[in-house]
Amino acid sequence: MSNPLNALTLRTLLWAPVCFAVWYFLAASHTHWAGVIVKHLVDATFPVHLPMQEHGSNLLFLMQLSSTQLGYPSIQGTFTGTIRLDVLLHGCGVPLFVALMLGTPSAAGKAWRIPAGLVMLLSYELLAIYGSVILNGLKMLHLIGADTRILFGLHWNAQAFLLAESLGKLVLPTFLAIVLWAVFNQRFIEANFIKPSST
Amino acid sequence: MLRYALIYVFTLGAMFTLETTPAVQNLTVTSWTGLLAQVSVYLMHLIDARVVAVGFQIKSMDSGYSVAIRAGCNGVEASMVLAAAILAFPSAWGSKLLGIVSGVIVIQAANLLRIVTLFYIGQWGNSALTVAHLYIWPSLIILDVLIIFLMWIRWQAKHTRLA
Repeated sequence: MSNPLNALTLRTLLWAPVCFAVWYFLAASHTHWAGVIVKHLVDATFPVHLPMQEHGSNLLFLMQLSSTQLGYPSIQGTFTGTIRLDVLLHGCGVPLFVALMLGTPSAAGKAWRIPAGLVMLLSYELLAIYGSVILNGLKMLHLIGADTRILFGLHWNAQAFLLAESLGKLVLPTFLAIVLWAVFNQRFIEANFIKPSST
Repeated sequence: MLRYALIYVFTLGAMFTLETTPAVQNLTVTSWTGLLAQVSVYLMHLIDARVVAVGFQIKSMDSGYSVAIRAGCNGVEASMVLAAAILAFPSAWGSKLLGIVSGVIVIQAANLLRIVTLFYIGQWGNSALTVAHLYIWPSLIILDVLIIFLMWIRWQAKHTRLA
């Protein structure tokens, strides 16, 4: 195929179903390992204990706070809320990245670039899940009228929440896949698009 | 490359910050989402007359099934990703404007296709809707953004050389 864009598009679209199917098939074990690592992060850093359960591709964090922790010492009782996070939602850039890398006509360096990209995307995924636990914890505290500062001294800000949610969940997972592909294929982009030799 | 990346991140960050302000959300994003529901239903009427739009919702009058188009489902974020990429790229302002306008039209057309397909996939099954809505379509939309951007830089490079 002479047109590099057509070749890239067609090959990526052919690889995408395969990559998505493999990724989706491995979701259960992927969720398990992501859960194990995030649980360690949460246990090591959170000021409150958050038990975790796995449900399919979801991680459930059970937030249990005493009325004293919430700032209502005169009332007796415990507040319990669940934070449900879809692990795959933060990692859906993984199959896209692999499909793009495999679909790029230039073959140079794929053997190390694909694993390197996967490590970066999976690291992002873990940080994004951890960040989502904080964000949803803050939102939960705000909704019940508690002092949000018990979580890392953070104040509630609706706009910051919306911005972090849209970036972290909707944009960054797939956007980072594209950015990594572009970084790993600068020569391909430059030769075929920025300074194309054909007329 | 580093200069481009810095300008891009700054432009995109500014756009996202602006988009999430309550004023912009109310004035543009909300009205745009309502309009998308109307246009989606208009397109669906070509094959299915028993569909109506109620605010942000699209509803089947036969099954009662409905979907709501929410912030994040309106193609605005993808349009901003493309617009920032084009704005940050060193090129003539006319080329940038043409790239952004035509690119946003293509992204919104893809998003309309996404809304229509998700509406029917949702009636077929909830797990299929989750996979298509949360995992597959976001990847296809961002791939669309990448292809449009690559087409534009190739076009503007040739255009600049000829001028």
